[in-house]
Amino acid sequence: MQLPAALLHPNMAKPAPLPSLTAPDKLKQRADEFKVLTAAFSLRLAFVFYAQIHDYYFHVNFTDIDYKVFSDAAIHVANGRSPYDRPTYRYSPFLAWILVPIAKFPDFGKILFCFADIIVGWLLIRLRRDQNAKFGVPAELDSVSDVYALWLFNPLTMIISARGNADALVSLAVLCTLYLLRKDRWIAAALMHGLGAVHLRVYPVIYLPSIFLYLLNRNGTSGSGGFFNWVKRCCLNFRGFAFAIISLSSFAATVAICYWLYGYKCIFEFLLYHFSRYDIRHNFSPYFYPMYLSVGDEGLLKLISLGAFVPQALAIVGFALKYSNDLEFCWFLTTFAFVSLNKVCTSQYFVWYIIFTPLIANQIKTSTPKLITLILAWFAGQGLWLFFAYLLELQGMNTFLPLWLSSLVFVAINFSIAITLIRDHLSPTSITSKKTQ
Amino acid sequence: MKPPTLGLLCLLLIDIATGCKFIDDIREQIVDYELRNNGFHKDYVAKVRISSMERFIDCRLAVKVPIPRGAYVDTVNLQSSLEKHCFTDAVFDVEQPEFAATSKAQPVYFHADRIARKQFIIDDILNFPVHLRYHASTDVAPFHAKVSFAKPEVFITCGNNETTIFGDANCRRYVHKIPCACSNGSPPTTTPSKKAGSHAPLCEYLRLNVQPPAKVSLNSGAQGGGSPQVKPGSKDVVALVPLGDARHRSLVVWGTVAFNIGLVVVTLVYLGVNVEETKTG
Repeated sequence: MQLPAALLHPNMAKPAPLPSLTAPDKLKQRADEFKVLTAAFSLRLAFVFYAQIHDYYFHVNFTDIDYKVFSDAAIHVANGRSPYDRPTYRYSPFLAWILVPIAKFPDFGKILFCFADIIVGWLLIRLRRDQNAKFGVPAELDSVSDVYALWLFNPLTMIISARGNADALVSLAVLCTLYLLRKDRWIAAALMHGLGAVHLRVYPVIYLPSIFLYLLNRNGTSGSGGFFNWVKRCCLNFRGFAFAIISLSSFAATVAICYWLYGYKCIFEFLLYHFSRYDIRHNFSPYFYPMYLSVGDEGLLKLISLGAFVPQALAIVGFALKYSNDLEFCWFLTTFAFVSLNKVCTSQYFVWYIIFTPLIANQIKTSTPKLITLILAWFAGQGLWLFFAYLLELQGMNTFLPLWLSSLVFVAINFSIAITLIRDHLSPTSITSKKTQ
Repeated sequence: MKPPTLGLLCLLLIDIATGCKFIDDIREQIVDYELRNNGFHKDYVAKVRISSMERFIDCRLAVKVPIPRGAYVDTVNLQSSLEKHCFTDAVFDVEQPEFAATSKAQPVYFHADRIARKQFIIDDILNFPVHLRYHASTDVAPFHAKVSFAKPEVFITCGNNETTIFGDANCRRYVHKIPCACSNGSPPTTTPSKKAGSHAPLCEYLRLNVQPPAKVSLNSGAQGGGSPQVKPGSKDVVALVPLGDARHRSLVVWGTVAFNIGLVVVTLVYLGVNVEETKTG
C-alpha cells in the first residue's frame, strides 16, 4: 500500500510530465476494469442465489431482516398503500418506490444493491486513478488493486449487499458527492449530497464542515494572516455556504414531499425516530448499557444523548479543520469516529467508512505487518464483544457489565487505529512536494 | 386413602359426564408444552394428544398460545419456521422492552395443516420460535425476571360439526369463536384497528379441556406412605431473563461519557501535536 520509494526520495528531481496512456492501452485498461467489475458482480449474484438455498434450509436466515422490511413496504406501495404501514419501516418512501418490482421478483432489491456496489467500485477506480495521476505515479505502476481488495472482492462488502442491505445506495450517493467535488462540480455535488446521501441516511450531514473548508481552500485565496483573517475568509466563503444551503434545501424539499404524500407518520418514522431513539438492546456501542439502566430517568437520558453528541461533534470539526484538503482521509476519519461514538453501532455501519479505505491506502506509510496487526485488533475487539453477547443472548447469562466493558475496549481499539493512521498519514501536498524537491 | 382425595382422583381420572357426547367420548386431552434453549431466543414446543372412543371424522385442531407481555413472536418470519401449521396474524412490537406501553400480552392462533380423517387419536406437535424482551433493570437481587407462559388452549372443529356436534345442546357451552383459518400471507401492517386474529373471519370451534400430563408423586406422610397420588401438572412454564444491575448506573453513565470524550480529546491533542512535529520536523 506504499508509494514506490523513488517517488518519496527527497532528492528526486522534478520529473518530466508523465506520458499518458496510448489509446490502445487505455482501451485495454478499461477492458480489464470491466472484466473485474463483471467478476465482482457475478460473485455477488452467486451470494444472492445462495441466500435462497440457505434461507430454505436454515433457521437463521442469510437474508438481512431489513430486506424483509423493505420488501413488505415495497409490496404495500405496489398495492397502493403507504410503506409506513409496514412496522419498523424507517427509511425514505422513495426507497420503497424504487423497490416496487420486488412484488413480482423478490430478489430485485438485492440485485439492485449489488449493482450499486459495482458502481461504487467503478467510482473508486476512477477516483483512485485520478489520485495516482496527481501523485505522479507512472503508468506502469498505476494500480487499483486496493479497490479490488478492499471493496470489490471484500467478503464483508459483498455479503452485506447480497444480504439485501441498502447501505450500498447510501455509499453510492456519498461517493458520487466526493467524485463531483473532485471534478469541481460543486453544485451537482450539493444536490447529490442533499437529495441522495442525506436523504437516504441523515449521517452524511457530518461531511458539511469539511466540504465547507474544502471549498474555502479551493477559492485560491491566501491561507496566511492569522485566525481573524481565516474567520473573515470563512464568512466570505460563498461556495461553502451555497453548498450547505443547496444540500440542506434539497433535503428539506424531499422531506416536504414525503410529508405531503404520507403525512406526519412518514416524518416521524423516516426522520424524527432516529433522533429520538433509545436503543437499549445490546449492540457494539457502549451507550446501550447506560441507556438501558437509565430508562425512566429523562434527565439521565438527555445527559447521555448530549454526552454522545459532544465527542462526535468534536471529532467532526477537528478532522475537518485538519484534513479538509484531503477529503478522502478526512471523511474516513470523520465517519470512523462517528460510527464508533454513535449511540447505536451495528456491523452494517462499518461499510460507511470501509468505502474510503481504497482511497487512503496509498497515503498510509504503515508497514504491512503493522496494518495486519491493526486489522486483527479490530476483529479481536468485535470477537470479544461477540463472546459476551453470545453468553447473554443465547445462554441467558448475566454478562451486561463485561459486555459494556468490551464495547469500551472496541471503541478504544478503533481510536488507537485512528491515531496510528493519523501518525502514518502522508498528506497529498507532502507527497507531491517531495516529488518536486 | 381419604375420601376427599379419592374424590379428587375420581375427578381427575374419570371424565365427568357433561352431557355432550363428543366431549364425553374423549378419553385423553393432553397438552405438554415447554420452552427449549437458553437465552432470549426460545423454541416453544407444544405436544397435543387427543384420543376418543369414537373416531374423529375430518377433524382439525387449532391451538391458542398466550404470549405474555415479556415475550414476543416475530410474525414476519414465523411461517418459515412452521412445518405443519399456519397461524393467524398477530402484531407484536418486536423492538420494545417489556415495560413499554406497546408491549402487550396477546395470543397467537395456530391451525394444524393435517386433518384427522377417521382416527381415534390425534397427535399434534407445534414448534415455533419465541423471543424474550428486555426487562427493566433492578438494584435488588435476584438479577433476573420471570416470564410465565400459561397453558395453551386447544380447539377442534370437525366435518360433522353442524350436523352432529353443535346440534347437541349440551355441547353449545364448549363452542368458542376463533379465527377460521390462517392469514393470507400478505405483509403485516400497523393499522390500529387490527387486533390479533380480528381481521380473520371467525368460526365455531369446540374448546377442549386439555391439561398438562399427569405427574405421579409418592405420598410418604402419616397415612402409611408409599401410595402414589396423581396430580395434574398445573404450573406455568417459566423463562428467566437476565436484568441489568441498576446499582452500576452512575458508574456506567459517567464512565461511558467520560471515556468517549477523553478518547476524542486525546486524539485531537495528538493531531495537534503531530501537526506541530510535522511543521518543525
